[in-house]
Amino acid sequence: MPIITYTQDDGTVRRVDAAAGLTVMEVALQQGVSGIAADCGGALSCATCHVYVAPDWFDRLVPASEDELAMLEFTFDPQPNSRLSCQIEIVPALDGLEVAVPARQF
Amino acid sequence: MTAGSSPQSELRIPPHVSLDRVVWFDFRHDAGLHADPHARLEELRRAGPALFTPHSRALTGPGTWIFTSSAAIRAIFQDPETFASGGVRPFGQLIGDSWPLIPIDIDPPDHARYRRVLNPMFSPARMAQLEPAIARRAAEIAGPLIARGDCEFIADFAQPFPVSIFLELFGLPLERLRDFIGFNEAILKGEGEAQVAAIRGLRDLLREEILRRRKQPSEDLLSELLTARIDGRAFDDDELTGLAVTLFLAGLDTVTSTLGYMFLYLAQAQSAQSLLRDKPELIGGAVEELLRMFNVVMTARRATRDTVIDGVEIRKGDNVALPTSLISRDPAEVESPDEADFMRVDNRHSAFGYGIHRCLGSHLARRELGAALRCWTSTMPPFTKPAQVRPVSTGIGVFSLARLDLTWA
Ligand code: HEM
Ligand code: FES
Repeated sequence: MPIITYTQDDGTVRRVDAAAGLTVMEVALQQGVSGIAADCGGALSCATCHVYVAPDWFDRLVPASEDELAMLEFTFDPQPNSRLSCQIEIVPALDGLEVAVPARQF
Repeated sequence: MTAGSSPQSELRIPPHVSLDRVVWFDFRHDAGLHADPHARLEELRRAGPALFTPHSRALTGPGTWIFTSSAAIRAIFQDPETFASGGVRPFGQLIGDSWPLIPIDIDPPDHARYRRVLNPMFSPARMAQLEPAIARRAAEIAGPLIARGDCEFIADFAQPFPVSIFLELFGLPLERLRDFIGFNEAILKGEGEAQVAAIRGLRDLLREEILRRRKQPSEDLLSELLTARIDGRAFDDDELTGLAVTLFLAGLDTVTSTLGYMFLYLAQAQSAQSLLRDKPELIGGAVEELLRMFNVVMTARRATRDTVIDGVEIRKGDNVALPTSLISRDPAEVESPDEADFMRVDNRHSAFGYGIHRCLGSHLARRELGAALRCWTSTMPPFTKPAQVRPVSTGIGVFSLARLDLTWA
């Protein structure tokens, strides 16, 4: 199983096994990673599943769709490496992916 | 939001509904709902996971399904192809117009096209700019009440406060405050002629303002809607009307109602109120927790095809009522759901809905609620409510307190 590392805002680092086919948001909720609200459940309407992707991983992800790009503006503190975790599907090639959870989602 | 009422003679149980699921829950006249909507919904949860009431929640349709587990409600919210919003609130149709409420009554694929244009207008960054104005309005409305020693919180604060913010956003003169409150009440709580007249009145007023902005654009949201582009074109008149009416209806009553229950709670729970007075840093957590405890929306969907939810057969055309409170207080998801804990971590409630229609205005709503709590726990004296007065709720699509008397020394 791919392993994903979430760095919570309090500094806690969570390395978790992630089943392929789920999204980075779904794994976070299942594993109790703190700080990802995911209010809309992955429907691209809330932008409360915001994460910052480690720079050397950012370009390896499938790029954000236009809808996701528009929605990133709806996040609290968008940065160049921002993504919505509900839009990142876990595939074996993402083994080792590192994301940071922002201080706040709204 | 509901429109009109259904003739009681239509009450019947369709053949595909098994009798052991039937509850005679009357959205309009249920005494329990009027006494305490959140407790009444929990009672329905205990009655079973899938209920059917022959009463209609909205204008049309043979009765209404109510699923009571968070899992089933979430599944319905997540499947807009099967559970559509189109035509659920036919306000335009009621007055013979063709505009739908946008985006709340729009289904995929058009829905996402509208949200793409609207989302940036309600982003956290944009709403943060409004924060000083929101705080100022709260102070202006609450301040003059102090010397009185009491108030009727709904009419004196919870109604005018969000309406004044709406006027600010839309660049409308504050003198229109009472007109807008009147329309809002008559549309969401009224029936028949009065309701129809109010929809017309609101439409005319908003159209007039849209025309004015066409001639003389300014900085407000209406002007922004006029210059916005959807697939490379401007919104047409029907779209502009549907958008303006929706923003008005979705953004006022919800805030008023949530404020009502929040302040009813704080008036009764003195220790929670003094906690916020001593520790204003808890206000953010309090907003979330009170939003979770007091979900005010019971929205609806209509099945576009036969389907099965939780092993229950749903037929095309069936109506489903979706009380979000049953997600936010589901013991399967939340520990001690009926206890307020301002320090709850990862408080994942559904006050703002779920799925593609999840609230557009949440960032504005959260700032309004926060400003109200901050104002009332810093500049206002500790408040209580006369013990002998029982709170009464009204409303189907949005529950709200009919009135809330507060007193202070
Ligand atoms: C505490 C206050 C509020 C609550 C509890 C609330 C709740 C909700 C809920 C539950 C929905 C989903 C309805 C459905 O799925 O059928 C919704 C949608 C919506 N809300 Fe809010 N709301 C609030 C404040 C606001 C404000 C201030 C605005 C101002 C712009 C707003 C604008 C909207 C709009 C436009 C939609 C439709 C979104 C869509 O269809 O994509 N709401 N709201
Ligand atoms: S969970 Fe709502 S946008 Fe990702």
